[in-house]
Amino acid sequence: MRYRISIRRHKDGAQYVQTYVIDAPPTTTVLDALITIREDLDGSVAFRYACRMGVCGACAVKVNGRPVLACATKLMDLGTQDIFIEPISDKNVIKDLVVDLQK
Amino acid sequence: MERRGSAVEEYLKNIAEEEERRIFYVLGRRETGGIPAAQIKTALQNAMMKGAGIFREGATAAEALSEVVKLMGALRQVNINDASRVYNMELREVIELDGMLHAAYAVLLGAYFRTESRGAHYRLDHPRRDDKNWLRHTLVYRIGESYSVVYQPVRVERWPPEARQL
Repeated sequence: MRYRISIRRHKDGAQYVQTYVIDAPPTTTVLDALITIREDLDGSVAFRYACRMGVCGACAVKVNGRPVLACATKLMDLGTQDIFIEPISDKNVIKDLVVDLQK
Repeated sequence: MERRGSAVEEYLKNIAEEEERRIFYVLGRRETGGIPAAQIKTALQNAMMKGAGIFREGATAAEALSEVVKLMGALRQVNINDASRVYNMELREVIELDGMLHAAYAVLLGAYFRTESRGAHYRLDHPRRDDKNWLRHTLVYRIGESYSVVYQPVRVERWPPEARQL
């Protein structure tokens, strides 16, 4: 299945949206899709993750407007092939999807 | 006392500067058109599966050793698109890969030289456990760019190790 994944980038004070197109099975998690993008398409995309299985919460991002854990959300659960990923709200963004979790 | 403190300070500062140089100028220089890190990682995974997987053999371990040496060379031409110093995940990946390659090499050296089977180390060409020659620890040291393998006797205290009885 072909997915259009748009990411709100935040780099050196500049903000922009970058769109990547990937082919992935619908059972791929959002986190695995992000890892695929970083490995195959653009190494400069920054996001945080640790356990990859919905325990630690490090990969929390907003997908299509809803805050979710990237590792616990499958692409098919989103019901669309257009996916918009942005950092979680109310936090200062350090870079791309990485936010400052202090306080 | 004050002299001593400043010498330590100087020593630590040198180490920190050396490490900074290694990370930002040796590993972290911007490079495009080289080899993707993901490709090196996959190749390392395959080499380790073959050379130090479930069924091991001297010949395949030797092959994997030379593959890992090749990958260490490939790491010097690894792609880094992101030259930023803020949350650079790509650089982190490369630093991790560098460590993985050295760890893999140490594991393979141990597996290659240990000509017996023991626990999870199962050698098809040496299926027997050999307490006479191999009841010892393998230590691998990295000295500059080379490695040295050293063996240390096992200190047997209350429970002498013995082969499992089926």
